[in-house]
Amino acid sequence: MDNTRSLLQELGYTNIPAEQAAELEERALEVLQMRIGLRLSQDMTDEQLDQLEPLMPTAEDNEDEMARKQQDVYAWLQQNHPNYGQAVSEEIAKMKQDLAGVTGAELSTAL
Amino acid sequence: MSEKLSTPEMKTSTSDIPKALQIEEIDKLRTDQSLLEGRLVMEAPFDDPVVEDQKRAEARSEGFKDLIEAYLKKHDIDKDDDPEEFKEYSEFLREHSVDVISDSMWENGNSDDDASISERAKTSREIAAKYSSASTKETQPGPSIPPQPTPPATQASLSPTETLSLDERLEKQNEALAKIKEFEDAMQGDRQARHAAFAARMAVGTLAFRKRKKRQGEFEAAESVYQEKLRELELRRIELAETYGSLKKDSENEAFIRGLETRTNKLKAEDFEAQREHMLKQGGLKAKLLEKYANMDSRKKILLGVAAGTVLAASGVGIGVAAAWAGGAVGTLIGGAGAGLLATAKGYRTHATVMSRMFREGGPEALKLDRSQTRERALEAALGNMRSQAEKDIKSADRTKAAALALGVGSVALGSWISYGHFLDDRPSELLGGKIGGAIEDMNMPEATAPPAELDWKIEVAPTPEMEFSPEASKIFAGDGGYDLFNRMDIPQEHWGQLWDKVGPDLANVKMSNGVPFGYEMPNGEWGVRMPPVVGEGVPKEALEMIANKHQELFGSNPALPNGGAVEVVSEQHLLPPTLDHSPLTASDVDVLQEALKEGNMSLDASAINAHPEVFNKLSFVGKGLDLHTYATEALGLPDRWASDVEELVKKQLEATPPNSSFTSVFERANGEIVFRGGGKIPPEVLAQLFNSVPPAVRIEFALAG
Repeated sequence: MDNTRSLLQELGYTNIPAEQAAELEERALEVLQMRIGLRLSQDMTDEQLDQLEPLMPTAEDNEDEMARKQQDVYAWLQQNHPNYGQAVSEEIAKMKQDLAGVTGAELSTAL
Repeated sequence: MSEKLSTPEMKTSTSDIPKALQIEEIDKLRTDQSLLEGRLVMEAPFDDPVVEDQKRAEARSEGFKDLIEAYLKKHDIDKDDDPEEFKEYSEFLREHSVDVISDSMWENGNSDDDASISERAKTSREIAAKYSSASTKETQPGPSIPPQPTPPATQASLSPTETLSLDERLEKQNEALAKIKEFEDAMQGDRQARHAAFAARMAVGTLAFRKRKKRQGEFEAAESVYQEKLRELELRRIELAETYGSLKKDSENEAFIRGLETRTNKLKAEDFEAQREHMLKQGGLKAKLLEKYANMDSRKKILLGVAAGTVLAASGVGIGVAAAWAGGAVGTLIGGAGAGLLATAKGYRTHATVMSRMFREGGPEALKLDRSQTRERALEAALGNMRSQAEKDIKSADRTKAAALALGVGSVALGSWISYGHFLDDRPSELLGGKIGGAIEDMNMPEATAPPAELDWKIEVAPTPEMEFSPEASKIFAGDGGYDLFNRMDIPQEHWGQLWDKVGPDLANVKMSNGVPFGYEMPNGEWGVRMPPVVGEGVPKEALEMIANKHQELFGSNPALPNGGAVEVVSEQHLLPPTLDHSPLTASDVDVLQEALKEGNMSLDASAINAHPEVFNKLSFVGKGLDLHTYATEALGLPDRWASDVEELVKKQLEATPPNSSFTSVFERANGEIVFRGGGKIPPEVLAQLFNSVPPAVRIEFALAG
């Protein structure tokens, strides 16, 4: 089964055009990114934020530096926020629920 | 009683048209209607979209009725004085309202029909026709109508021209044109003020009611000033066309007038872009940075840019990486610049802006939601609302630094989570289905990849050093080719062929001081390099960097970086955490392995590994730089042949297009070998893949052997 748009289907969108589905998907991911980022960063101590800040790439970095820093941030996150995956999955579930609430869909799968 | 719309006896010129029916006045009414519609959209709480649409239709109907009544009253047509006249005018204006004739139809006509004229022009002609043919006829008494104001700047220049020679008239025409140009230039300030007010309005969060109202008022005031100037500009142009149009042939006249109309329309179209530009610049944001981020596919921002990491940069998806992290940099600007601006610049639309944009682009007709599309728009609007709220939350976060880092942290967390979840099939288009849409419990959770919480390990990465090239590396002589450059850069000879195949074409993108490309394609299809135009200029540094980076990408080491560019780990206290159990597998461990294999139909998966940390932790922790072959033969106890299978699996994942980020975050190439890049725990998904890469029979042997 093509599960490309299963979230949308789950929400009752069975005939949504692919292009529109892709656009909605992008937006969903962006919203998730922001929600997750805020949740994680709010959970961090000031000391952790101080540690993380210099690891973040800046606009002045070249591509290699950006990529390397990204790895550093990822490594840092793994070590300092080991439960971040839980936060991610909870935010995804929450968003599904929010969307279902808006569109009136009844989600069939457990959140 | 004044004349009716249906009255055949009309007046002599357009200036005699009742002001309530003059096209410029109707334009003003339509603008007021648009603003009212915009307010209704902005103020609507997001609820059921169908109900909301119905409510808005009712509010619009009432609001437009009031607007028309006020409009007619302003033009001395009062429903109490002459109900019949009032009714007739009201109906006419209602039929020409923005929800009946869209802005697009009003301004441009049917865009599918080249010969179509705008509804505005059509209406204007119809009204003019009713009032023009009776120049000699008696007119009926009508309401006192003030004369149509004539634009002062062109009045003098557009004086009667009958007595002038053609040359003089042409000269007058040019003067009038110059004055119009001056007027247009002088409008720029109003135009900018309007754009700034709009940008400020859009920067206000959905829930900041008071501020939003204030900004809306400011925008409407600026909009009104600008629209007034725009109308005056149009009037001047029309007057110019009417006065001097006869200087040309009929066909040219038509083109002349059309040209003026086109210019006006173009000016309006430019407003959108100028407005966007203004928003990008407002608040000190770096326009280019935002543009880059705004124009990027957001899936790339998350997946390619964040999850896939270094290898993507090395594999030619670097722009994605750069732009994604430009996004991260944008995140750091949020605190100071305002998340709302960011959203607007990125083209994300809140519910209100979705509807406003639909209204702007498609006119009120676009807001008459097709029932079949209502739910899609509801979802779109819901996502817009969520985004707006998320931005607001970030902006209002207690700690500025937490807010500033949120976007970057979020992209890393989500990107890596997605990447680890489905590393073998991480096509972005399947994200919603495979990750978000799928059952959560089936997903491989990334926390399984993290080291045990009790381990206090840290990686301290030394700052990335600048690439440095020896003076020798910069030398170039007539007749030199790529291999000569490589030789002077101390690149091993065995790498030359492969490296030149990859980097040769790229060098054509490097410009020398005279702008000529450094690399070029020779007639035989091979790539060569040019001598720089100035003696002593040497090989462009950009070319040297390109070669060094490509070498690192292909062979894992950078000739221009100390230690080949390997990440220098300042502190390695994480390598072998003292609490870790490195004892050999016991008989009971083997039992567990066998059971896990049996349950998994002779395969292991991440959940089986996570379920038995007491066994798999013994196989999961490695030191930085350990080569994979050694791990496979010594830690897993595989014979050479099967160890090679494991290496082959990893090699394929690293060389895939795009490279598998789950593997690139664990392994890297160094001196021709595959090694563990950072040390620590091998993610369960990766360990399972390594294990499953050998034939089932070997897995059984392994389990039995312990």
